[in-house]
Amino acid sequence: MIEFRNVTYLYKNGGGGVKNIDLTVNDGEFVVLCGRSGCGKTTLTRLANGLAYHFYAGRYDGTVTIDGKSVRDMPIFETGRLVGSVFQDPRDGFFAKYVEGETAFACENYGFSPTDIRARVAAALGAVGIENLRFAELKKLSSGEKQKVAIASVYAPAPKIYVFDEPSSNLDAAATLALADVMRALKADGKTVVVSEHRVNYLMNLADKFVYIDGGEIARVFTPREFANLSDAESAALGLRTPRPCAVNLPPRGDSGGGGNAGLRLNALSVSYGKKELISGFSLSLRPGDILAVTGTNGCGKTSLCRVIAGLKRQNRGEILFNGKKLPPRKRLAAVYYVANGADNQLFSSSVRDELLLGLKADPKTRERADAILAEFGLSEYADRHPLLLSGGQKQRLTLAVAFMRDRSVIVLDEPTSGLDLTRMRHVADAIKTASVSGKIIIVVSHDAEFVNRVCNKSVIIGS
Amino acid sequence: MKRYGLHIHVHVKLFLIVLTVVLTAVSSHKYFTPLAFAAVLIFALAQGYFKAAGYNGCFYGLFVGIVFMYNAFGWGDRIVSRYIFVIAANAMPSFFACYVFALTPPSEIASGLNGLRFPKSTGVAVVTLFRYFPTVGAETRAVRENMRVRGLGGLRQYLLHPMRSFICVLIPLLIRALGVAEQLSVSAVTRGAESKTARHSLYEKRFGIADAAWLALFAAGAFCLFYFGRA
Repeated sequence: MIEFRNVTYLYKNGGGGVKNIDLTVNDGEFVVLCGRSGCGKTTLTRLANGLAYHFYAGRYDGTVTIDGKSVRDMPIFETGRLVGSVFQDPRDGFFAKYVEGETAFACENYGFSPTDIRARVAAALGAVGIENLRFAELKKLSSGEKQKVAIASVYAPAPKIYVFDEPSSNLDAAATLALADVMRALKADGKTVVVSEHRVNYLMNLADKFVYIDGGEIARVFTPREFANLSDAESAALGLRTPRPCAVNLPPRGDSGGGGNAGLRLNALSVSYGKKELISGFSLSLRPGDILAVTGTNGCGKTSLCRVIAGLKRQNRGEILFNGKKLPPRKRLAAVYYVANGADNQLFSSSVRDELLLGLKADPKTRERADAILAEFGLSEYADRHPLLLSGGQKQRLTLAVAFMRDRSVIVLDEPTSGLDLTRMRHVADAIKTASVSGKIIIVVSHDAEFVNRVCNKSVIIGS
Repeated sequence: MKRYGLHIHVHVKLFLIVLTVVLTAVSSHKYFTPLAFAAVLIFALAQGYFKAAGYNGCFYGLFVGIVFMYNAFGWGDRIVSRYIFVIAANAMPSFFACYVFALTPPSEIASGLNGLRFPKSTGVAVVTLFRYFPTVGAETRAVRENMRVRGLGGLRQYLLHPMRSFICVLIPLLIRALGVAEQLSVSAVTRGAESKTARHSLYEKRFGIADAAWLALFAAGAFCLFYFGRA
């Protein structure tokens, strides 16, 4: 049992925290923490696994106990035996080269014998359903498979509590359902599960309670029935994603037709990743103003396709035409703007305004335009701030603002709403719609069905 | 492919021996470096690291070939100083030994260092370090790709605006590097990396006869090189 008693935790760097938390998570209970970005969900998971006390710097009050033992007083390796932690993006936390080695990592640290380690690794891989990947190289796995390896790795030493921090943010619909199956198995096994999530619809049949956090405090605790009965307007008012199942519901790509040669045309394109051909004979036609959703399972080639369209990678076969003219990669680089997933390695300047002006002629007209775009993206008040000091959602919006600042006819966005709450997702959607009105062609790679349905006017499923 | 995996102690000692020999040899006997390189090459081939052996062999051959041409054609220092290539060739055995060492599974390294009575924290730090290099490489590629998208990449940009290009790469790389370091640390500490119990490895191996033979061979080689090289 995890007990939070009048817990307050504030990060020393001023990055938020939680206040006056009183919460009990009983043995075998499945609890979902939800709320807007930055509300304190992740801090609660860090209090449960001890990271808040032993890894991050903060001021704290109150007590968090697991089975009566204070988390603050326990060394973190002891808490690790009780609480298994699965993070948003497991890629950055892997140590081994192969699945087997990664699954064994915690058991090795806790000094289990080699025989015991082998048995536990086999059991963990079996429980998560990835026995077939035992000797696979981690970098060759899809995001969904990597997430399963991360779960297997914390499952192997057999903790009784599992803490997940936004585990579905990089997963496609099928992988998210597979993740739900693993969580169901943990629950059936009597484990206690705490999940911090934006996309809650896949947890509706699993959760015993939903804890809604607002401004660092527990604002309300919902039963599953109460949560399921929230109307769209009510959940939107709380800044929550829809609790109902959501699938992409758009007309297929078709051929936009009309308009002569205007727009982007892909003819019989074949794309590979390494030596493996992922997409073959792919054709598509888009007109100015189109917003296309590119969906498909993790690892199906969506990002590779987009990199080809952006001129960052060559296609194996086929051609890409823009306004009727064949574009080689070098020219595509000048015509298409590609916004990759992950904002940190796309921001280069010392202020938000300079970020928009970087590489452009800084005349008064351009400056005016930069200020207008900052206002459009709700970033005016941060114009003089260093881009890397912005929050995750603000950085995401800044990368989009930079894209719209450039006079490129085609914009390709790779997972632009990864980890964003409803309000921020809607900001991004509105900005994309505004850009499309000005005649840009926008291609969006996304697993976020709610976002795709809101912003796109056609879709294509890769690998279908 | 099943590799002939040697005990981690052999890797660690080989690494230290070759490093010591080469650092000493830079200003000593002319056969030190080729012999040290040959030793690591045989060691790599014996373990099935054919690709690594091929790459490193080619580079070493290239540097030695250039030095040979400098000497044969009397180029002197007219093009580029020959000592750049001499130093590169002399450093190759160390790089190659490090490379072979880095191919060892991280948990095997940690377990081996533990067996050599290194503190547990050292093992985890070394594992993190070896895990970190490929990440930094991938992040650098991502940053450069994003610079190309912004029109900041390319040779022309690097030549026209070297300082701007340098900062564009450095700042995001540092930030990402900090982020990755945090994620790795969090992942390690929540999975018992600081546990006080002795660490075991899934890949744990006994120190066998083959390991002892290799170790004796390298130790003898190092001794001979020192002894005869000094004379």
